[in-house]
Amino acid sequence: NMSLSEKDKAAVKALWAKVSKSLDTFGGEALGRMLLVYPQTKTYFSHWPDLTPGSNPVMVHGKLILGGVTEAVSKIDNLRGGLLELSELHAFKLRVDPSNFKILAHTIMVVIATMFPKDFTPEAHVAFDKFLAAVALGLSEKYR
Amino acid sequence: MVAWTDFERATIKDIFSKIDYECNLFKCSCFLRCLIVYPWTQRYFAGFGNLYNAAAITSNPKVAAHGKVVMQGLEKAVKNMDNIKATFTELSTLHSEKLQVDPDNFMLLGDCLAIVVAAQLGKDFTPEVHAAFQKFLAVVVSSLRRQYY
Repeated sequence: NMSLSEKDKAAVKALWAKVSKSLDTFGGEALGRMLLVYPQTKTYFSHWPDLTPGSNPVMVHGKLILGGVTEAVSKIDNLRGGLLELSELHAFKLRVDPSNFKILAHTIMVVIATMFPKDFTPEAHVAFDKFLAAVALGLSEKYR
Repeated sequence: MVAWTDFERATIKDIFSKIDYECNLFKCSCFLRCLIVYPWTQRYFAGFGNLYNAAAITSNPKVAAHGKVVMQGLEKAVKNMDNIKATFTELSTLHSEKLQVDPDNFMLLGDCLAIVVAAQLGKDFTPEVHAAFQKFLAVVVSSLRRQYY
């Protein structure tokens, strides 16, 4: 369990403040990208009529997911406790294999890199990677 | 043999023609980033001197030099896209038998390269370009893993 230092938390909040300004489209962009680049993730959305980047279900759901990440940022001091409800959702209802959290995390960071190349320095990258790993851990809490 | 579409071939060659190796603006070497983001990878570079923190790694000349070696290896794959497996037989054996690198590290470096390329290309790193690039990385990683027994 690689815990977040105060420096990490500050870096995450600073980066997310920048990303937050584009939250309407950012989530859809990340989700659409993931579905295309890692096609095995499409298996969780077989009930959608359209899985292409930019489509309505992708944009709507992407925004929802990124809302979850924003919530996680606000609960950065207690991710395990703060994500319990979301963990129950993912464990008992959605049953997303936790390996996919890593895939989405990487995709989110790629989108951040395309939009904020100067801000996504190696130092910001390691802090954010740690944060998303901690979020994944929090989401896996209720799995078994 | 891997089947590449015309779009994938053109995309990979285009990306590698655009990669700025000097890239001093934000020190974008994927190898450098890997050492910082996944510090346990430093275990293979004990002879590189000061890797104590991000600043030291960023200014370390051995890190910069080795970053170039890594990119040259990848360029070989770009020049031999129809036979990356054979092209990397020696490199795979080297990493397995001599360097004894845990092959899981290859994907860590691959992820860092995707981030670095994304940062350089910006909105030109579209989902379609990203998908082609990820396929290339998967083939490279698979080829480098091939000679591990």
